Amino acid sequence: MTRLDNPLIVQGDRTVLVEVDSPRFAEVRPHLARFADLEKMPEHVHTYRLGALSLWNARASGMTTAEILGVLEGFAKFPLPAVIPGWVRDTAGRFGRLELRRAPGGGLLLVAADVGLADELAALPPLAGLLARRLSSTAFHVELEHRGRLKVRLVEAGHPAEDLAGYTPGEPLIITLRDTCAGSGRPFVLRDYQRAAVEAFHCGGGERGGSGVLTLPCGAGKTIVAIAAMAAVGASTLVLVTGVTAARQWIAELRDKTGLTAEQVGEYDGSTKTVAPVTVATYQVLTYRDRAAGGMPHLELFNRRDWGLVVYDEVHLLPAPVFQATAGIQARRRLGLTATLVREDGHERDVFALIGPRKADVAWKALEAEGWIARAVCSEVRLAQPAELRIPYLSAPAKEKHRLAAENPAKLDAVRRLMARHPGAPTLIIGLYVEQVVAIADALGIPHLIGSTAQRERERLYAGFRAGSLTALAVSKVANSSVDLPDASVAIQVSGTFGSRQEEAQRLGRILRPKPGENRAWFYSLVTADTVEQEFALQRQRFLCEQGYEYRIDDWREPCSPA
Amino acid sequence: MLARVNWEAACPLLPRWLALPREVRLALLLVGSREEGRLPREHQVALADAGLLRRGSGLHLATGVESLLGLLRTAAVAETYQDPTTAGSLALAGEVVGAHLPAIRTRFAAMGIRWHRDDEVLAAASSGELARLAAEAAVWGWNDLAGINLTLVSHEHLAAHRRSGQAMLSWIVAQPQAPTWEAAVAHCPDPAHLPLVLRWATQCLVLIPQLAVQDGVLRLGQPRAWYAHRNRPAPTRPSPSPGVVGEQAWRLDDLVAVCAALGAKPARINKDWTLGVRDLRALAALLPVADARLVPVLDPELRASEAISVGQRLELLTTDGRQRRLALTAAGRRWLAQPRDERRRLILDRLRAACQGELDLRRYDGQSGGGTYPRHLDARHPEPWRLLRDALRDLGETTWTLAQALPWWSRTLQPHASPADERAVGLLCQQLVLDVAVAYGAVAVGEAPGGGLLLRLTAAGRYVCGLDAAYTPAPDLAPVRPLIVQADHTIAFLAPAPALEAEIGRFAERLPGASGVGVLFRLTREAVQAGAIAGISSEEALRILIDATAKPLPDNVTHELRGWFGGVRRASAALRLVVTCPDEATAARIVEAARPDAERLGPLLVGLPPDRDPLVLARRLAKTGIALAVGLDEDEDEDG
Repeated sequence: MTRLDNPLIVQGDRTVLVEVDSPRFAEVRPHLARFADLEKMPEHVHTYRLGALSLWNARASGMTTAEILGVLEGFAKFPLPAVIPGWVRDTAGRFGRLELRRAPGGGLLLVAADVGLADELAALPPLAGLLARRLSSTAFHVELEHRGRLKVRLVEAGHPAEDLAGYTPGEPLIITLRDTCAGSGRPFVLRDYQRAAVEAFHCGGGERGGSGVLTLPCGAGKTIVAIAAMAAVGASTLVLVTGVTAARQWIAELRDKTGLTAEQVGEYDGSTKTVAPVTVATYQVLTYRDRAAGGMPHLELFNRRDWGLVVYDEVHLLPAPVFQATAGIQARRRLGLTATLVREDGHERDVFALIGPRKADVAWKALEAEGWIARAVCSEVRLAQPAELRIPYLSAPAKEKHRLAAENPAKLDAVRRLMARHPGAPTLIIGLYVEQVVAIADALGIPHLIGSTAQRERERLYAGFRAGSLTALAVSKVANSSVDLPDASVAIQVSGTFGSRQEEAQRLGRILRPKPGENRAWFYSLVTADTVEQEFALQRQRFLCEQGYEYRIDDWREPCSPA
Repeated sequence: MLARVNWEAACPLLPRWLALPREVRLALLLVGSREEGRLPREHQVALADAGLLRRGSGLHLATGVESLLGLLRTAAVAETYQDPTTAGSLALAGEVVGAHLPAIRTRFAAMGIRWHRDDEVLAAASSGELARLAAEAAVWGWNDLAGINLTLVSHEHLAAHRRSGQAMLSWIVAQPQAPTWEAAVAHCPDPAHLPLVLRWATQCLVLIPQLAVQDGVLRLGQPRAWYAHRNRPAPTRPSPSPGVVGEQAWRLDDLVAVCAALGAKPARINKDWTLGVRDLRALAALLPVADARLVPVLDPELRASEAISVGQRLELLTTDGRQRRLALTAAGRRWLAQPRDERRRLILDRLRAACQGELDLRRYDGQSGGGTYPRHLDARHPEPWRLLRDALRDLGETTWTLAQALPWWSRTLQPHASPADERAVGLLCQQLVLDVAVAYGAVAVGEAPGGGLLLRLTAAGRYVCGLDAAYTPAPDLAPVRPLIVQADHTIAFLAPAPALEAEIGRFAERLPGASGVGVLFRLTREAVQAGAIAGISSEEALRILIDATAKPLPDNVTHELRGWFGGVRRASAALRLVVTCPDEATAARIVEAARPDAERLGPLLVGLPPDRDPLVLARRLAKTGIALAVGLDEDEDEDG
């Protein structure tokens, strides 16, 4: 039966379209987010995709197949395509038919729901060597060290195992959350969605909790959620982050929000290698390869202490060696943090198998509506290419065209005019080409931060930016991720690859943190019109619009450009 | 089979045959077979005495008996698939009246029926009242009525009798009841030869003498059942039936989708002029999803093929055999660039012309279901649309069910048809309505409250039928805005809107596998520019989107659309004969010498029309002291 007031359109290709303006949108959104991955969220119709992993995530969170179908059927405008119910039943029904438990005499037990499934597993070549022996018609013995690899292979084979083997408690560590921030003295209280995410992860300390991924948008306070999760677990914790700056900001946050002392928090990176009850390490140092000795010596950090929890910041960037190391620490609790589960390398299955299922997914629109993140306006400013550069551009080889367009000298004046629009607002000027970033910084008389900037200088600049003594900073792509600039409200992108979804998300994330006053942020991209840069910008435009951001195009090619 | 029977020869033997005992008659059938040796002697004698058998070196059939047996076998064959009574009647009719195929054809032609095949004739002849009434003729005795006289007459005389018979028949047929013998004879233009006239008319089954049993009066006329059918009560006019109808010119939408796709990228055709399977599938995938109530269950590929076929007949599409491709024509490009109503008007004009008899409709559109029409009906109604037009005009814009209308239409189209023919005509009408009238939006369709199809003539239908002099598209009473254009350049359909799908498909890229509802299109520069090249303007595209979208058009989309449309430039290519000069002065001299066709293409380049003979030019320039090398060896040049 057709019910046009319902919000869902379920399509045979397993996409689910959701009409945002439907009166039942708010009702269906939390249910749908549990078993479908949000792919696009332009302003009116969001696209979710049903996939095996998304269904298994839902099953892992306790949702039944009937509930999934109930949501689809109950909220759909049109009858479900004939293929969907059967596929959902088959796929979702696979979760829970295999359980990984701790064996009484040591090791693990893989228990199948029926003999047929057990026989199928026994015959699967990828599982050879991982299933030690068959104990009964439905149970296999599994060595402890194979726990991670077995889960990966089972997911690949389409038979996910529910890991109920539990965790090692780890070295106990009492982590108390402060009532007020140590630095600012402002009250520190977990927001509702942060508390809910922590509970979804921890599950009261039971076997069904303790491993999983929390998906929160940029600016939603992923670090805070992780710290609260650490407090809930109450054990020594290894935090893995993307770079040194991020590591230090993590440490600062830990000191600011918890009662941990300086000695209890260690930094483990290229320059410092302190292992403490809470250790913050970088992916780079873990994957450092010692050419002389061979191998990656710092991966041993995973076993240097009896960690009760391992936190993976920006889990969508997790490098392959860390995945492999993670396969060997499946007895430890694991928490993944990300703004997007989309991995450019397509390793979503590994994240599911080795880190855990998605435990919480917070919509940024909801956060924006509640004022937890700033309302961002994305603008593309199109500039004319100077006439004297037009012929050189047209005759340049294809690979040089982008740079010629990106380094349009007219951009400097445009930056000035944009900064004049937002006088005094903390402004980041972001560029792909170092020379361009430096030139603009010099012309505007503002500092710049590039790859060769020393760590000490970086921190000085960040501190000044935070304190408000610096209102503008030109940065190269080093600022793409994990650079916490809480007061930036304007970003002006003078050049970029415009092709990477991650880069765009990360750059935009720099300005999403809540702002005082009207809580708005502006993200400008300067684009040379009628060049390849405009083509790249089109991809960026689509991506940002798919993410639901407001997008404007300002054409400044006319002599009378807008003020 | 009947045609091979020479009744003239068989007829004199028939009384003798009928006089023989049944077992003797059966024995005759064995003569000439391998069983003839078992023929009892007394039967041989009886047959010989009757003049049906002659003796010689064996048993031989007498002259004319072969024809008699042929007649009997025909009856026997008929008996195998018809009920015995009818077959018996047919046999009797054949035996007595001497029917043969041309005569039956003539007879049916007089009734407005044309036949294609002998088996159809036979089936018809043996199936209804005709045979029974032919039997009546036997009761009267053909010989007595026609006053058979086998004297030879000239061809001219026979032709005269035939004309007289036809004239008399015309009068008889026009009577509501069979006239009396006297009245009929009084209308014979050639009373002197009345027996011959009657013989012709009766032999050709154009006239059946009938006995009015009630009053013992001899009448001449059509079979009684024919009069009963002719004088049957008038059918009930379809009464208005309440219900909601919707129209969808789905074939027009198909045509737009196919033309738009082929305008953007021509399809390759095979050596046998058919479209490649892959291209056909790709086109089929572009077709809008149509309301299942409106569109017959057609395979999308068949729909695409039909759209191509219509497009070719309208000269919107053309096949280029040399380049082996199917592409949009210039006319097609102009048509595609028209607003929807204008595009539709062009199609409706063709239908209207066909209804007015100015265009051969069968050539215009007989594709779907054309092969399923009863052949004799198709042939019998060379202009079915004109007839259907009258029916539709009479129905007007009331809403009626198809089932209700069928018998009424049938009667309108063929007042004197038999009930079986009425059903067949009804089916024909139904197919024409659904395949053409509905498909082009001339008739709107809905679901009747009690089930079945609900029909109503649309504004387009009124125009096609000639009720309106001009086509005025009906305004949307309740404008539905079924789509949303999003800032990421996607277009989502929240409800099926096939016509809009076709419209938007002209300048937007359909997402793979998308149709019906959901995110169906993406506005891309390539698709927009293809639309622009096809003649669509940015304002028209924006108007279509703005009129149909439930939400305001995002600013960035509007900006990009305008930019993409504005980025299209039209350039022309032409062959030129290019002369390369050593310096600008020489170039100027050549332009001067080659006036008026020469033009400067650049400082050192001079262009000339491509048909200019370079050798002639070389001679002309040589007179001004310029030696022009024309790409040949100097020797050849000199030779030339």
